[in-house]
Amino acid sequence: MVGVLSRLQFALTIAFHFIFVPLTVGLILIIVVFEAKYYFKGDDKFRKLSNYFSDIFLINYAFGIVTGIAMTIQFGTNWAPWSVAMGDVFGSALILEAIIAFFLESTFTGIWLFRRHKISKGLRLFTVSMIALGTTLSALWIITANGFMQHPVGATWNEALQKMELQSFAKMVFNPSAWLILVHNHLSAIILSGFVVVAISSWHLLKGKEEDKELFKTSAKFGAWVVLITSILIPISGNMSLDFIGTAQPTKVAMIQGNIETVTDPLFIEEVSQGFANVVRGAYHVMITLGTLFILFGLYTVIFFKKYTVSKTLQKYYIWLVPLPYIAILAGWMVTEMGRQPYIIYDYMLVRDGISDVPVQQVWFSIISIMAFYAVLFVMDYVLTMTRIKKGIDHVGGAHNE
Amino acid sequence: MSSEFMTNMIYIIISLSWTVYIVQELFISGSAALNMAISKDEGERKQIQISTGIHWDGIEVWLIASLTLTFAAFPLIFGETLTYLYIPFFLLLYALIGRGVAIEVIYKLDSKKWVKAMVIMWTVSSSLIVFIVGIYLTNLFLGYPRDAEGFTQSGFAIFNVTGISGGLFFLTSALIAGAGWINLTTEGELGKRALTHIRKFGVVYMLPVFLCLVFMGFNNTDASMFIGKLYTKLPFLFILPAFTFISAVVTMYLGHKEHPKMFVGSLVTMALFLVTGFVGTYPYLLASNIDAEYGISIFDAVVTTKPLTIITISLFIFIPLVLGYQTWKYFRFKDRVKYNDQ
Repeated sequence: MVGVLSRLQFALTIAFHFIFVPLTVGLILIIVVFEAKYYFKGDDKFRKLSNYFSDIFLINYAFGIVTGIAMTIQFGTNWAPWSVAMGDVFGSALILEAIIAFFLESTFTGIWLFRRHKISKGLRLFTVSMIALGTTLSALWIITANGFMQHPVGATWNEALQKMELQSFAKMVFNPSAWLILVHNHLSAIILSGFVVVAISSWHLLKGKEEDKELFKTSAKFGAWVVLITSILIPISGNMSLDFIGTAQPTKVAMIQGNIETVTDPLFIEEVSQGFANVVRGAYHVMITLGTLFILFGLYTVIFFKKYTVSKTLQKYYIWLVPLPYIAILAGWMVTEMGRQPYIIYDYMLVRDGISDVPVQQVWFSIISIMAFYAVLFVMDYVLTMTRIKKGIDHVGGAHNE
Repeated sequence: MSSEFMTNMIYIIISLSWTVYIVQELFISGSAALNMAISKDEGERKQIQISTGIHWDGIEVWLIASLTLTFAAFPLIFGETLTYLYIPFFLLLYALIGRGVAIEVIYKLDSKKWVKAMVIMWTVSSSLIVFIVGIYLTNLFLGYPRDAEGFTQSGFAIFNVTGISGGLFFLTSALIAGAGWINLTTEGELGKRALTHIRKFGVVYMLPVFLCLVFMGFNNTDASMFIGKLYTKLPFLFILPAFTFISAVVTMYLGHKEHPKMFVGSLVTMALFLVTGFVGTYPYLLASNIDAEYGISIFDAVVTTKPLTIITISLFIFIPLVLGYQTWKYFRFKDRVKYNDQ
C-alpha cells in the first residue's frame, strides 16, 4: 500500500508542478525578447507587453516554485532508498541546480516582482536575462538527473552497497539521453507559451479594451511565429529521441509499438501489464497527433494572419486550444516516465526498491493533505491568472531611466 | 584534496548555509509575523510586504541548498532524517508553500476579503516556518532517540520540551529581527512602532530564557549540546555558548531600550547559536541522544570521492558568487520603502 501511495503521490505532485513549469520556462524567453526589443529599439509597446506577460509569468512562477519544493522533500520522505542509491549522481546534479540555477532565478525574480517599474532599461534586460538563464540551467540540471535514470552512463552500480558510484562527471553531464530530453522539453515549453500568448491576445482582440488591440496584434503575431518555428523543430528532436531510445531503452519502444510480448526481461514481464503498456502507447500517439496539429495551426495563423485579426471565430478557437499543448506535454512525460517502468534507474534499480518504509498512515496523511492543498492552489492560480489576463495592459507608469 | 578534508569542508559549508539561511529568514519571517499587529492600514502593511518581498525568494533557496547539500554529500543522512521526520517536514513544506503563495499573490488581488485571507496565511505560515525549523535544528543539535536497531520513538519525539523551546527561541529571535528590519527599511513611524511593540509585549525578555532552556537540554535523556567530540577535546570552545548567551542578554537590553541595534543583536545571537550547535554535533548530522555511536556521522554517510570533489569545487566557485550578487541586491535596493509605494 505504501508503495502504491508513494507512487501516486509523486506522480500527482510532479504532474501538478509541471502545469506551471513549462509556461514559465517558455514565457520568460519570450519576455526576454520583448525586453531586448525595448532596450535596443526603445519602442515602448514592448515594455508594456513585457510588463503584461511578466505578471502572468510571475503568478505561475510562484506556484511552480512552491510546488517544486514538495519534490525535494519527497525524495527524502518517500524515496529514501532511491536517494541513497542515487546520492552520487543525483546529489551533484541537484546541488548544482540549487547553487547555480535556483539562486539566480529567485534572486532576480524578487527584483522583477517588486521593483521592475523602478529600474533602468539596462537593469530590466539584465534581470529578465538572469531569470531566463536561471530557469534554463535549472531545467538542464534536473534533466541531467532524469536522463541518467533513463540511461545510466558515467557511473557503475555497486551491487553490494546497492548504489550508483560516479565514475565520470563529464559522461554524466554529456549524456545524450539528457540533452535530447532537454531540447525536446524546452521546445515543448516554448510552443506552449506561444499558444498561451496567442490565446491571451485572442481574448483581448475579442473582448478587450480598444486601446490594447494594436499591442495584442503584435503579440499574437509573435506568438504565432513562435508556435510555427518550434512546432517544426520539435518533431526533429522527437525523432532523434526515438532513435536513441531504440537502442537505449528497448522496453520503452516495445510499449510504444505495442509489442511487449517480444520483451524477455523477466522483471519487466512480472511488473508491466498489457493495459499499462497500452496507456504508454496511447499517450505517445496523443503527443504525436497534437504535435502534427501544432504545425498546421502555426502555419495557418502565420499565413492568414490578416484573416485571424478580424475573424472572431478563429480568435475564439485559439482560446479553446490552450489545453492542447498542456495535454501534449503531459502525454510526453507519461511516455518518458511510464515507459521506464519497472525501473527507477533503468536496468539497475526497480521502482519498488526505491520506496521508503514509512507508516502507511503518514503517507495517507501526506497524500490527502497535499491533494487538498493543491486543489486550492490550482483554483487560486486559475482565478489569479484569469483576473490578471482580463485586466489588460497597464498604460500608466513609464520606465525609470537613470 | 583528501576525502576527509572535503567531507569536513562540506560540513562547514552546510553549517554556513543553514546560518546564512536562518539569519535572513529571521527578519523576513519576523516582519511577516508582526505585520498584522503593527500596521495601521493597508499602505503600511504594503511597506512591510515590499521590503521583505524583494528578498524572501532568494533567501529561501538557502534552505533548499542546505537540504540539497545534505542530500548530495550525505544521502544516507538525508534519507534517514526525512523518512523519520515525515510529518514535520510535510508541515514545513505546507508552511513554505503558504508563505510563498501569499507573498506573491497578495499584491495582485483586488478583493479585500481575499487580501485579508492571504495576509493571515502569510503571517501564520511565516511564523510556522521559523518555529518548525527551530524545532528541527534544536533536535539536530541534541540528537534523536536512536539505538543500534534504529529510531526508538516516532518522529513526533522532536516535539519535546527542548525542541519546543528551540522553536520558541527561533520565533522570538524572528520577532525581534523583524521589528529591526521594518525599522530599517520602511519610512514613517512604522518602524518605531515595531520596536516598541516587541518590548511592550515582553518578546525581548524571553530570548535568553528560551536560549537557556535549549542549552540545558531538559529532555527524556541526558542529551546535551556540548557532549560532542570538539567540546570534549577543545574546552576553549565553550566560549561559543558563553558568547551566545551574552549576546542574547545584550539583545534583550537593546530591546528593552527600544534601540534599533537589537536587529543586529538578534542576528548575531542566532548566528552564534547555530555555530555553537554545529560545533557541538560534529561529526554527526544525525546524532543519537542515547549513545553517540548510534548516530550517523558525516564520514559514515559521505558519497564517493568523485562526486565529493565535484561538489566541493562547485561550492567553492558558486557560493561566493551567490553571496556576491545577493549582497549587491541588498545594497542596490536599500532605499526605505515609502508609504503607498505602488
